[in-house]
Amino acid sequence: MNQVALSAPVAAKRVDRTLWFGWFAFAFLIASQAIAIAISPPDRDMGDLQKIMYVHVPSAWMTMLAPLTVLVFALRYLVRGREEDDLLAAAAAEVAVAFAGLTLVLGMIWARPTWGVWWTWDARLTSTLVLFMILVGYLAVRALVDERERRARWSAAVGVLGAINVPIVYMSVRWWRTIHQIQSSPATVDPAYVIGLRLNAFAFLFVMIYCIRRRYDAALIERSAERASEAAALGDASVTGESLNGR
Amino acid sequence: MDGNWMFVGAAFAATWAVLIGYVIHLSRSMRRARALLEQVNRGAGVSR
Repeated sequence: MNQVALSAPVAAKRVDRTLWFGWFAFAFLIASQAIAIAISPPDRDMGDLQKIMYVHVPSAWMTMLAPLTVLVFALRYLVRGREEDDLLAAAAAEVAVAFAGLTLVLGMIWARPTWGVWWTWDARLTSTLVLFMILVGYLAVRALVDERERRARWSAAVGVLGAINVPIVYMSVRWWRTIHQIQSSPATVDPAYVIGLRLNAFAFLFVMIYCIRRRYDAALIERSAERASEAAALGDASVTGESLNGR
Repeated sequence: MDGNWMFVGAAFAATWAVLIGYVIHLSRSMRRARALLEQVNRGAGVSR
């Protein structure tokens, strides 16, 4: 009979640590948003609409950071061929889709009262939409290709393509005439808003790390189940859940 | 509450909706993966 142990203490401990980090990340996000709203005065031109910056700008930064994470692990997979790198890239891509979608929605909510339109084919908006579509394409490739190695290689290629688009998104406000303001950063915003922006940037970063880690943990367990199932079908008694699940 | 606050509220609500929605999706993925592993283990005749 095939021996597939269900759990590995090391893996369970790591999942617990990830959960605790998640609680910390969301508590930090609540505190950061509360502090930012409480201490920032209304903007001279935009009034209280300025407070959308505390969610839109950090979300936009994560929209650029997550595809770069995909790039790092996709290249590592292409060089080393380790499946864990492919799973990490896939986890980062899924999180990137969530942040890119959120960034676009928040941008539209901010655009309506300030520009008078929900959407315009501006360079920054369009390049962000293209990035979002490439990331959705990445997930589509993973959903459509069954063979494991081919899926990893093809999705890695799409991941690299998405990352190439990141500098274009970032520089779009300088390379083209655009309605979108230049990049927001502690150097370009009023000092009264810097603390709130920094706190929320770290909060979004922690939430992004938590989400990638949690998605990766789930992917590892899925992979363990797939491998154990294949091993059971082949009657391979040497494969155990400990070795599969304990990484 | 003026019109500006309506947009600010919508932005923060959208943020939390997406983040909490994604965390729920992650929890479901994790539960599904564990259930799958348990199913495989049961099929292989392993008891915990």
